[in-house]
Amino acid sequence: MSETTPTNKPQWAMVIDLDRCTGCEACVVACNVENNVATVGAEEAAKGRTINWIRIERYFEGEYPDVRVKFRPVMCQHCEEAPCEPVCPVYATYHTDEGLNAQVYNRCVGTRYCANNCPYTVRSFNFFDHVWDAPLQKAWNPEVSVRSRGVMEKCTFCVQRIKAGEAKAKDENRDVKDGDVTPACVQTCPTKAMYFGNIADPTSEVAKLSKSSRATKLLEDLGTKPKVIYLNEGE
Amino acid sequence: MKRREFIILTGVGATSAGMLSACGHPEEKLIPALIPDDEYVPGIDVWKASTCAMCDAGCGIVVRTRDHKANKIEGNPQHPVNRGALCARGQAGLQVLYNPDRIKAPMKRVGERFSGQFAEISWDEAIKILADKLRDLSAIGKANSVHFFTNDRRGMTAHIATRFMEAFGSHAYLVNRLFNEDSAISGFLNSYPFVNKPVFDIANATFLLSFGARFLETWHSPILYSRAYGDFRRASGKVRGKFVQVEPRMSLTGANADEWLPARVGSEALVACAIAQVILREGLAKNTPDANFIKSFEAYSPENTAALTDIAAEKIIRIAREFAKSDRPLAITSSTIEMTKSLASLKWANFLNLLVGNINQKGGMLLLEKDYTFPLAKLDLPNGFSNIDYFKFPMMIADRPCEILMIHNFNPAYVVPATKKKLKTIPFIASFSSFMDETSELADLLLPDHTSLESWDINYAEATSEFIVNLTQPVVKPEFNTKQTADVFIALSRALGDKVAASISFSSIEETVKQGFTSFAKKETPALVKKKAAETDAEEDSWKPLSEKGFFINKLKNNPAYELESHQLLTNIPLTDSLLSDAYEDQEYPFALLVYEHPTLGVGEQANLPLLQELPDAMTSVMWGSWLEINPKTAAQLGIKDGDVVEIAVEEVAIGGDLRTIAQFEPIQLPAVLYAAIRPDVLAMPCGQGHTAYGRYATNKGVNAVVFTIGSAGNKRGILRAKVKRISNENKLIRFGTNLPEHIEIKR
Ligand code: SF4
Ligand code: SF4
Repeated sequence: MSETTPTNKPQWAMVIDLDRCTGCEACVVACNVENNVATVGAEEAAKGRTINWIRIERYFEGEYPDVRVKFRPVMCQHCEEAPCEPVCPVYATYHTDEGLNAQVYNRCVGTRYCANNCPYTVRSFNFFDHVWDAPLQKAWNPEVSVRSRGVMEKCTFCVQRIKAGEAKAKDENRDVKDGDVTPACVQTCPTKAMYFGNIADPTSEVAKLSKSSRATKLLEDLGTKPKVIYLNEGE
Repeated sequence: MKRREFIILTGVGATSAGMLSACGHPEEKLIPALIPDDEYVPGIDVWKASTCAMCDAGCGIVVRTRDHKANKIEGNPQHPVNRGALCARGQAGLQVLYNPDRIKAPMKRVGERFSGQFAEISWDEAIKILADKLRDLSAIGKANSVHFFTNDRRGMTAHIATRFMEAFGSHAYLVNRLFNEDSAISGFLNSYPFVNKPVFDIANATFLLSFGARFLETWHSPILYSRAYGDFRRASGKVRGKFVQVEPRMSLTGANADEWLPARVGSEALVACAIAQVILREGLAKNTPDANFIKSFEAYSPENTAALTDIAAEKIIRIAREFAKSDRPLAITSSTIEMTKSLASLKWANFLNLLVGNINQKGGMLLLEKDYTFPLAKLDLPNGFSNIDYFKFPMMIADRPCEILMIHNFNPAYVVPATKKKLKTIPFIASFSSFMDETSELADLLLPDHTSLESWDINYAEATSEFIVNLTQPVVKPEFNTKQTADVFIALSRALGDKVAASISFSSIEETVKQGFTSFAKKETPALVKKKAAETDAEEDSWKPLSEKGFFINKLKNNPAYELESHQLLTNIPLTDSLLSDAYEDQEYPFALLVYEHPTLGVGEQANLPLLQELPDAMTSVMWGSWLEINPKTAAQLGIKDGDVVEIAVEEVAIGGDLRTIAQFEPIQLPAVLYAAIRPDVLAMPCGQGHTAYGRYATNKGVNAVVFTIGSAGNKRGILRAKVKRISNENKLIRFGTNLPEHIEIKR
């Protein structure tokens, strides 16, 4: 786990309002398209080999007829104390000074230790080279590399959009502000359940929302210090 | 355009603007739909505005393209329907454009009829073949045996086809959606011709009572209402709204409710009546009908109806009070065939809105004046066309002479497999589908249409108090050798000459759309056109700003006259429904069967998109297949476990409790899902799968549930009853998350 060094770089974080989220999965498809996430087909899917950077968890509570359902979008939590990082023998997964848990595809040798150590099971392994039936590959996002067999992958908080947003702020000679960076999932969400921004900036929306009495983090007691904050239902 | 505006317009801004800033103001040249090669800057993102075609809601989109390829679709941030958001279907739109199973060029049949063997031909030849056939028929006075069907409900194809077909001497038909919310709504409002389709102000409501309306998935305008739902829950300065859903099987929408009332199948209207009765007897109504009505309405008390609805009277009374006493109560309902007796529930749910007086109020039901003119009126297109319901198709082709069938994006061989036999007796079939679907397989001539992202079109959408005219324009050049169907009609009309040629005066769909859109916009929003035109060179005039924006708005007025009418309406509601009389027990077929529209695969139109096939169903996690939902207690009694293969036998019985069977179906087998949120006396299955054609991703996945909804072949509609038994424990379900540990095939 990384030594935390003081930095004036932005610290990227996400807030998800579970009271707004309807479980519609628009974010899932948006992510797949933006990040060239492969579809594996029925046969491989049956073996549990789908690639998912974000998933919607669903919980049934109670018994008929008093059933209630809860949804929760789960992606890489970009933990400050990420359990996946120290177990990588080749330093393919590491922490950036902007608080991102990054993955270097061409360094990854596919031990899958990181996936085993991730308590949120958000890492997907490429068990084989994916076939993109032509011309489906024309829809690839040229800003995002396509992963091949033997490589681990996961949510990057749309790092390509972060880089573009930072470049724009730099061009304009200012710090990044809300709205500079919008990951694909956040942008498409029909109910506006997701927020993204620099949590180190106290005026940012995510910084404010993270102080809400409804704020929680997933499996917080593991000490992973996630960078994704969930707002529960209720007042 | 100022750069700032451009950034707002394109939404993401981040990516595009960062790169653009390095090279002057290329955005001045970016937006026109097709950019000449010499002006194209390699490696630079170009955003183009258009309209989503994945359902009928009409969300605005902006498409990111680079080097002539489209690589992402986002919601148009300015568009009043979706304000930058898109649903799962909308996000998958690029896989329609780049689908490997598109029909790539015009083709004619070469093998035996129905052999599915085709050879590529030129467009000239294809049009000549069809024109010759049409001319020959016309010459022997059989023009009226040519029929055109389309399910393009949004755009101009139906208009142009109608003009053509009428001049030729026959008809074009527009096929309604299978799960059609619109026609029933307009049926309800028919006596009020001054109103448009109602819009519901869910965002500002404080209590939402929904009778089976899946407004977060498939109802009217999924994004418009999802956005409203977000604010309904948590807009700042507003109390958190309460949401109650009445439906026998909990949908994704129902899963978001604070309370779920699993009323018996077909009893939604009765629940609404029982709630209304409490409101009336406790004097909680803002508008009251006359005393006679209230008296006769006593029969619908929660105490009297509890046995029929299976909802305890105390619960109804509590909800009725909460509803009526809430600041801004609102009732909504589905009117699709997913609900038996949907027309009755439409009526009685809206009766609740009248009682609490929310018509044209904040947080209520908004009835908007129908004062717009049809945007293409100038171009002299027909204003109306013949609509038919999905399930009437078999009757229609059985009833009348049919020598040539021309079919566009409508797939009867999938929806009503039984009509395949009849289709095969038609001497000549021309398909305009972009994909080799079940019906195109039977065709003699294939004239593949462009997909929406390559097409020109105009259509509309409705959003709260606004009427929106949407532009569809190509975001990339056609991927294959396809041709927009409207242009095929223009070419056919020229080939046929005379009055058919005269029926279509313009020379291309592109010209029609540009002219129609501009002239209408000029009239409706002169300010926009003028201001923008002044900034650009005169030649580009008003088209460019419009095409950059992708839509324009026509504000509608709430109708003041309506207030006066609502009291009258209250007294006019007759109590003629046989709501109290038709519960029955059926020993042999003990379950009611619900067949519902899949949230993302629809009625099978989207089954050919791998992104959506592999998207786990939100409620069951199933991918790439069909399933049958059973209550766990019922399943235990029948010895059925999660994932077991079961067989269901289905029959359709007449409404009214006389148990007369009107259709019987072949039993089908599929995997069972134990589903905690369904009534024990109900089974449910989604539509969307069971294709036998329609490309590699759709073919042979799951079973076709649509067949059950069309059973009585367009006659009287009834109730579906089913029985189920376990066949084997061979688990064929493909599910996300249930088998995360890696599956090892070879022992090491
Ligand atoms: S798009 Fe938004 S509402 Fe839909 S599942 Fe994702 S977070 Fe939830
Ligand atoms: S709601 Fe309909 S129009 Fe809007 S994005 Fe989804 S599919 Fe497209």
